[in-house]
Amino acid sequence: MDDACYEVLGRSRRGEPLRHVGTLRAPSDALARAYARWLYDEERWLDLAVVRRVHLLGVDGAGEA
Amino acid sequence: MSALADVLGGLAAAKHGLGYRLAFAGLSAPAIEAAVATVALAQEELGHARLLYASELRLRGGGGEDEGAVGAAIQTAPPVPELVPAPDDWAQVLATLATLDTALSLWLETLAESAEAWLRSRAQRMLDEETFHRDYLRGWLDVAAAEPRLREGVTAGMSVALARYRPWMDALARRAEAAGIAAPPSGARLESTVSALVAGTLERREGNDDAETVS
Repeated sequence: MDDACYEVLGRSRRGEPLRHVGTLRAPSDALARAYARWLYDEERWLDLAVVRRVHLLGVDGAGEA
Repeated sequence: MSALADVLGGLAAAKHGLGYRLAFAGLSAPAIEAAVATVALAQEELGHARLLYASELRLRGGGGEDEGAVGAAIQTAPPVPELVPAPDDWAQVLATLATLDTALSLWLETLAESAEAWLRSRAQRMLDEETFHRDYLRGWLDVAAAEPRLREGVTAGMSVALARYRPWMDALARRAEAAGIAAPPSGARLESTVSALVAGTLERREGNDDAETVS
């Protein structure tokens, strides 16, 4: 089973920007969403999202995040 | 009301057993994220068991709103090792979720249509959490679809589990009919629901390599 690294982003109040709350590893997007719900449940999130780390694009010359 | 109380007691015992088994199964999950998720799921199942025991006590006039009475009911509840045997491996954990948790969701859907308003709202609250349980299970069945050994183990485990839960569902359905509940979920309905779940996950991979698992 090959897991990928995901970044977890959350917003607890309307109007706030999404902020980075952590990372996790998962074998699929569906499981990444499920894991995020239970791993980062210390706050009552208005929005919680995951994004694969490889989908982040570096902009300062590093080439990738 | 005693027939309905019997049904609620049966569901509470099954949730109790499932939560108990999942709490231990989480410790042998294949990754730390899966361990946390499985133990969290166990916690929710035990919470549902507590709510169902309280509902059963309320119908029996035994103080369903009394925390002490509910706690005593949980502590003295009979264990259900035959209904929810300890899983030997992760495949059996998934097979138990695919069958028993699916069965319990079918019952919650029925209770959410109950004539008792207080029971409808409790069932709906549990069903809302079950949505996440189903997403978690489907995610793992997608993973199993791509891993032959895990898929074989889950498929074999589901066959054994269905043989266990079909008659259990039928017995509960008979009690529910005695309580005046129309068309309660049967063993046959459980089997068809599980078949649809498998067709959309475990068997989907055979003709489709575009599943969203990470490569």
